[in-house]
Amino acid sequence: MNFDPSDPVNPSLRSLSRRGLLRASVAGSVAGCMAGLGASDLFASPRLGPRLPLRADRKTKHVVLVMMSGGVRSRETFGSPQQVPNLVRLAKEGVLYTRLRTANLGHFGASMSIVTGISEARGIRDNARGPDPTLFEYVRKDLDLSPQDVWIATAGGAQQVNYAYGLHADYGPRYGATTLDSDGVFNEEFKALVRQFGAPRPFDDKSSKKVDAMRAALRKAQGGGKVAAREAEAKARVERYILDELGGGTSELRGAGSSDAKALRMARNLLSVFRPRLIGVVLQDADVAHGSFNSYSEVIRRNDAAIGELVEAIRGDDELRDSTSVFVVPEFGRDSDLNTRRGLDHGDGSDDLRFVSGVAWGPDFRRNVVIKDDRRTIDFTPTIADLFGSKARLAKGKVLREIYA
Amino acid sequence: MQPYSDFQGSASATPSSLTAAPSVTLSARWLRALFHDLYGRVPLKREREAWLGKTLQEFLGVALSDEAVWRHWLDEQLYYFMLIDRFEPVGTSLDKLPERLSARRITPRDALHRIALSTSFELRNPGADTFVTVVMEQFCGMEVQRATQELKLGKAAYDGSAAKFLGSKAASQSDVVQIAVRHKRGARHLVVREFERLCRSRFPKKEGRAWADAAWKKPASMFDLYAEWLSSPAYAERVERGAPLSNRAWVRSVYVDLGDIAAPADKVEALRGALDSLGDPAPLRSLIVRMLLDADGTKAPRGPAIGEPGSWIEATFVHLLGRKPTEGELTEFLSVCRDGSDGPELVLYALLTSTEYQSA
Repeated sequence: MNFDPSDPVNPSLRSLSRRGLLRASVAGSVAGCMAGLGASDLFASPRLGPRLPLRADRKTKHVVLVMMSGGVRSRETFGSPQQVPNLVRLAKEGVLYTRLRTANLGHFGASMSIVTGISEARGIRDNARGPDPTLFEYVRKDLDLSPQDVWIATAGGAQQVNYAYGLHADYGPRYGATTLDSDGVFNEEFKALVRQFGAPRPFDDKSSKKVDAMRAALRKAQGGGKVAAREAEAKARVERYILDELGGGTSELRGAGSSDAKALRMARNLLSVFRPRLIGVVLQDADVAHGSFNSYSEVIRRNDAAIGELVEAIRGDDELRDSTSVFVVPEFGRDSDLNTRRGLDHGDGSDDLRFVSGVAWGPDFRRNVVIKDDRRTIDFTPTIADLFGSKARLAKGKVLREIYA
Repeated sequence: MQPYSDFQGSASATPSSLTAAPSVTLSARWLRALFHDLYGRVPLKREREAWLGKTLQEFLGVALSDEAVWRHWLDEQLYYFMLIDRFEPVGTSLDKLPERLSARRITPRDALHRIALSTSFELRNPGADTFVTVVMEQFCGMEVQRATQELKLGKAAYDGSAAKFLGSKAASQSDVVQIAVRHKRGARHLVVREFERLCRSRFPKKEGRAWADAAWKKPASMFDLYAEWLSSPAYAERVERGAPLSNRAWVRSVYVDLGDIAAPADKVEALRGALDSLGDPAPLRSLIVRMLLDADGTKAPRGPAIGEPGSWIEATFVHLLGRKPTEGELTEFLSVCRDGSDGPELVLYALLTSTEYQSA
């Protein structure tokens, strides 16, 4: 599973290590405040040691699910292989689906359907949780995973945070993914504010203990137990991660597709720091296609490069190399023909819109296999759940058993 | 981001009664809730002093004519339409809406109409397909997947062809907007979402029919509906339950609670944007509190400045959480306050980042 050494990938991105990320952050503007936290503090957790596969018969310990949620046709991905050399390489080393059936349920609904395994229409600007459990909840509940084991990195702003969990009574927020939107927390306005106010001062050990004692008293008064204490600890670690990231280079990414690039960069860093079991990455920038076909193509090329960097980083990591699976799937395609603005909408009901191409790559999967039969984008959630030994009970999709070697 | 309101799901509350208006004397809890819902922040000290002990009706009589309340209303509507961040309308005629609404020179319905005609709305929803879909969904609460023919007609009208959209003749983008805004479905959808936003409970279908009818036939009746809802037992139940502070309201409230000042709008939006990017904003809220504790205008008190620690802790609990500390809390917080000059800052940090503080 090695890349061609002549690949035009930034050499600095070839290796991903916790130490490397920390070095990068120490060189950043929050070095001073990080000094008080210390690397051991940031990464200390019994859950972060080398992981065992969750199913004895599988090698996969980590999954990255990349959802190309801005509407991407197969014509511009596997139909134009020169545009997506990294996806093509993944396909050659894994399983390529060329006819994944999907529906134009609006961007929000179509991506929600991928993570719930249920086709459900949602308003384009809906900003609320769905009624069904998501992949993240199934996996967390069935496998008793912590919030830091399951993440979503999004690119589409406040709305996409709703993918973290649904409102089903048996699942819900207590099993949700930890969610970060790249364009929010790493936007330039917020970073400027951090510069203006000064990065938060770290508490020394004594002050931290005082705060912990007061929080424990508050929790006790509210009837919170060990679960609340564990959640508080998890939140404190996320807080330190954000502080760390603010000093890194994620917020410096600019230009067409920069939100997507940030989300993919964030996924790389999360893999490095938290070693999560599951990361969902939700991209969005391809929707620029409504107004510009050229910008849309540029976004696809940039995303392909960023996915390549992510995979390259996985290959460069001793722990992740042979234990990480990657899935890439668009939510839906786009119209067959250009609109009057020389862009591409998504509403003509054509096969370009209703069928997309997706990839599954990982240590448990077959290699260089192309599946041309109809499958569905909603099959990915039951498949990933199955890979982990979990079950997407309410999902309507089916497990794609043909991917296994 | 947080859900638009917190009533979704199986745990949703349904108001027990809607007709009888309770006689309410304003307590600290009521004031926090009302300011949160109407001003998007907790009350300043002078506002607390002015309103504690007064009646709800006196308060509503003033608040619903206050431009600041309608500025917050506009913020909420723009957020609903996701006209935020790079799509936020800045320096446009929409800036005049709060003043006109407070003077009742424009109705909420017509203010929404102006929003839909703005450049920001157009940029946010480019092209016939997206634009008409959003108008149908957000103004009329329709599921376009079940109304594909209507969508087709709306798109044709948007592109300049004559078509019958939602039962009315249309031949332009502005026709599409006007028809949706003035449609009976539009009136009902507005009433439903505004009731649920304020009362944080499911819209009562039976009583709600009359409200929707009134809002459709006489758009200005929305002003009376707001007053009616805020005086209803449904709202009293919402005050009793508490409601999560939106990220924007939380930022503004922290500024008020730390420095008794209104937060600058640009800072509110930068912080709100960052907070919205987390599924659970608690970790970032915690970081922001630490930044603000030292910021000019919100500096936390140091050791001796607080006077007698026991009284200060008690007053701070009441002020921030609306209750006195338990014996266990008082013991723990006193011990922190008496141990080093950073005690008060740590107390404020612990309280402002507590789960309890994050609702009002």
